[in-house]
Amino acid sequence: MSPIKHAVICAAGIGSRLGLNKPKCLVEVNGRTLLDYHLERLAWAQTLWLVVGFEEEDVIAHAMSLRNDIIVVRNPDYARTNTLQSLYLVSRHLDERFLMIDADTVVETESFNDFMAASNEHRQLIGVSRYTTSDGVRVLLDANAESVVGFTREPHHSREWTGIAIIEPALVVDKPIYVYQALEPFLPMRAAELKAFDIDTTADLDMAGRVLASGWNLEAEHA
Amino acid sequence: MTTAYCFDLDGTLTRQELLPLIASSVGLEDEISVLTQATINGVLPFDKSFKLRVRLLRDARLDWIHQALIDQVEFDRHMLDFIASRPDQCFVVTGNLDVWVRPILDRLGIQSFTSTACMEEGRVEGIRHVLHKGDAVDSLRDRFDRIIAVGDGMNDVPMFEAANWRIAFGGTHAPNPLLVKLSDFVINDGKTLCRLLSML
Repeated sequence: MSPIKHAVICAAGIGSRLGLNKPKCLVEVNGRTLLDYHLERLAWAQTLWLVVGFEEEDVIAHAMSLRNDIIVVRNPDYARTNTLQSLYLVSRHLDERFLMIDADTVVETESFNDFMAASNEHRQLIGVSRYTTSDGVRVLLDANAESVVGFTREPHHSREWTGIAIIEPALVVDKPIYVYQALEPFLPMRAAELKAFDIDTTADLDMAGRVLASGWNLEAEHA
Repeated sequence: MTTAYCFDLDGTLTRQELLPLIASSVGLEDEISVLTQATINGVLPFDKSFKLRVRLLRDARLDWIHQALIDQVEFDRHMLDFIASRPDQCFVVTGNLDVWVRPILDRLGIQSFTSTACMEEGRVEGIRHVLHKGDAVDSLRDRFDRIIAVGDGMNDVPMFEAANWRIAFGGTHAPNPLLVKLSDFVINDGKTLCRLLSML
């Protein structure tokens, strides 16, 4: 049984850059929605929180059809707030560390399970990935490549911030900044590698289709 | 900080809507279910539909109604446990009629706000007062700092408007869409509901 009891999926955003008129968590990759993959991978979570906003009726209906015991948290301000503020709607009720995950990410399950296992050794973890996207936030690692010491928009760094982390609720603040900016004051934090990336553009979506179809065997394309 | 938990009754604390069960005691299920559905969908205001339903069921004997409820009503075990662990903080807030739902309220053993009946010779003659759920919440304000409301239907809207935290609960059917728009949380499962209530 995982030492982490709470998993929070942030699925409130509009996903405007993708330009599909549906929430990103309901976008299909290889025939299944991103939400399907997340809920299957998070089956162990004792309490699963899902923050919804854009097209919430559709997201709630689909999520509840997959798993009936979700706590749906509404973010009616989704158009004016960001992921950190969605996260705060949950973290303010928590008194122990939790897993946070953006609904618009694709994740390889085995590496995710290794990530969760690492939470036995480390209280907080930042998920980093070699799978990089055109406008992703990259991380700066220490000499041993064990800890995140900074975040950057400079694309020549080889690891990307995945939007997946295990953190204490106290790190989450109700401010209109990015999640990585809220983490910055607490660096260095332990890094753990995942095969994952988020889908912001149609190019990312195409890449997700190829990567999943190839069984995450596309290192050459992203090295 | 002291917290009050206000629960709707029909379909929230109970696994079934109660009026159809009450109607079954006199064979008026179809007529009542049309009105119940119209009310859940927000087509007919609760107080009007409720007056109609009470009128239809006026001839039903109270002991038949009570027996039908005792025989058929089920509760969620986790919600019963939650209530039993904080009986002084939990309240039933129901638009249903006091004399009809009495055995259910006795079973729950907590304080309740209900609509009240006008009785004549042991029979329901009409409605004395239709509960406005917002009034029930307001009346708890001097005793509690914070009020958490749990409901599923259109007549829970005033309760949500007056509460601090609002949970739309879909234990028996999907909660009313307008109520969802006023809610902080949407939950379909009794155990999960109690887990959240313990964390708020």
